[in-house]
Amino acid sequence: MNTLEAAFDELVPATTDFGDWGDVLARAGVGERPQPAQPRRRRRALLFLAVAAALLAPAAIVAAILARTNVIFSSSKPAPNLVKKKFSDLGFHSGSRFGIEPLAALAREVGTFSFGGHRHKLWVVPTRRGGFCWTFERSSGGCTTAPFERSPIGLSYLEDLIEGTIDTAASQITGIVERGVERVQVRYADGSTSDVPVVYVSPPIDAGFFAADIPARHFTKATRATAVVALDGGGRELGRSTFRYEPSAHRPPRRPPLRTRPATLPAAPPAPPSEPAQRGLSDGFSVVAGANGVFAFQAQELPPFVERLIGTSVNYGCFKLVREFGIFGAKGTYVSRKLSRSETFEMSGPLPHPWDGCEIQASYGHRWPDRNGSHSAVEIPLTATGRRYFADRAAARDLALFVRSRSVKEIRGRPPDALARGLGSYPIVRLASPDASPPAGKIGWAPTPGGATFVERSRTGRRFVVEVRNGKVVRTNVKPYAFVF
Amino acid sequence: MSPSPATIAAIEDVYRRHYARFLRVARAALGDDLARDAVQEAFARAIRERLSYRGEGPLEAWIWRLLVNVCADERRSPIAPAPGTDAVNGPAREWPELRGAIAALPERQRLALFLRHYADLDYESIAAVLGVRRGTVAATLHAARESLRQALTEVIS
Repeated sequence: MNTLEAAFDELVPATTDFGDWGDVLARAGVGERPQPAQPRRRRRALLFLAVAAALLAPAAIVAAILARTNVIFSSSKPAPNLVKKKFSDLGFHSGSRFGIEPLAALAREVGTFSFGGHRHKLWVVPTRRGGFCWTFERSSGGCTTAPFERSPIGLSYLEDLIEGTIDTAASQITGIVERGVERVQVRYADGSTSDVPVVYVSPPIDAGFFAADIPARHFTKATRATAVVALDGGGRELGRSTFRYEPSAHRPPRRPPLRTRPATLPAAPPAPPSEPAQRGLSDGFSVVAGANGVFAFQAQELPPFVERLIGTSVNYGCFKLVREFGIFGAKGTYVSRKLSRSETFEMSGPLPHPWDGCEIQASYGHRWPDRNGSHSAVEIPLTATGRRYFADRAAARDLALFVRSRSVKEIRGRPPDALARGLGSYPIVRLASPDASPPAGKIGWAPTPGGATFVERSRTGRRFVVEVRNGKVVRTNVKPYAFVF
Repeated sequence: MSPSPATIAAIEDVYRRHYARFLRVARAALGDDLARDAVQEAFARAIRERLSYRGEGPLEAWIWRLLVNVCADERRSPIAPAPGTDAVNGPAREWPELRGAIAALPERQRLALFLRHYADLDYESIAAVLGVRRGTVAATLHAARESLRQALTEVIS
């Protein structure tokens, strides 16, 4: 390793810090700005996760008073397994810093909202410490954490440019309200108002949710939305969030930087791996995987391919293969570092050992055929299951990489004869039928109606398939090992 | 085709994927005390000024430029650290010569080094961030490395 680069690395070590997006939104004036004098309120605001992008096709909002819909959490429809898995992953990856810990198995579908030109289901889940998380389908979501001191309204919104001007106007709102809020009303610069639908969800959620587009007629400076107001059943205002608009060409005066105490950086190495530890050795690296979730990588005799990667950016990771809510996948932690001869990191979330494998992934330009056989630069299985996973993933990746490579994508949609001619130029084998299998490590293909079916068999015997019709992938089983499109 | 402004979601995506790299460059440029604030401010500016992003280059490069501007503003601030003290800091206090040598580099050379080494940006991206040509980046980095090597030969070789 270049000594100068090594010195640079020591001067400012890489971290795995993931920032605080809520604070960015608040500083930018998007959503509710935290009040520095009210730290508990600010903390809650920071945990509102980000607003998703959406193209806007304003839907009508009923101008009359809208009574809120009350939903009983316990009798609501359970959320799909994929949503439960996402809530579970959210808890794992947020780690101990926020202590969110959604009780993913309890996730429920509690309503449907129309905004952004689509209908979006709302899923909610309680968290271990008394808060909750929510997500609008294909849109925004967030979490509150315990102790959760509700304020009447928490708002996120999107704004867009008013056509022909440098001014902006709110175009879409989403948010949560406390239990006493019966109505959520948008107020406009022209004095008019409109109610938006509110769904209240009973304990353990015990909060209301709203989401709506702002009507197109309020997309002028004279008529744009100015505030969202939370009202009780008698029309009394319980709280409000106001919109802060800045003309796009106007640079607001620079906000004096917050002089906050910096968060503790993981400058010191974590504790050593604890016993009972698992040990593995492969591809020139050994790893000790501690029962405490600490992993120590140590270079041994590196193969030339790995030696050349020293000093380049890689991802170290260790994982456990799990089936959560019926969905199989590798769950673990990956950290981005420069490849060095020894490295230690810690699992970000709660996951009991034993682990199934560790690896070092490098970015060196993946082309088909991959120079490393579609394996990661370093793969260290810690269990038989981990060994099978690495083998299966390599086969799935190889197949996916081939099918989605630029040159193959160019010929995938050709008529049968032209497709066959095009595929003839690759080192792959033609199969007698789409149900046949090629030799292990080889890709096979057979013509099928409107296209072709590609097959690769892993060393474990597992068979991966991608069927292409009219140039599009219509059937595959390479997930979760690889992506193909 | 009219240029499209950046969306908040796209900016968030850059933040979530590359926060650690942005923070590392800011720590190199400003030191730990100011770095987090600088990154937060750069992304907040990105959101506030997203409508002025014209899609003339990668969004990430545009945000890198905002961070460079924020760092420059901070360094002009009377409370910013003096070069060579905390401007490049970290646990390796045994590298005072290197810290001093980096602090002595011209601003552009120092930023180019940080963007190359800590952000892992390629020459094209660094050129876009600093508003110079690709060849200028190569020359700038070469000059910076030579300066450091000359200053530090006896220290780190």
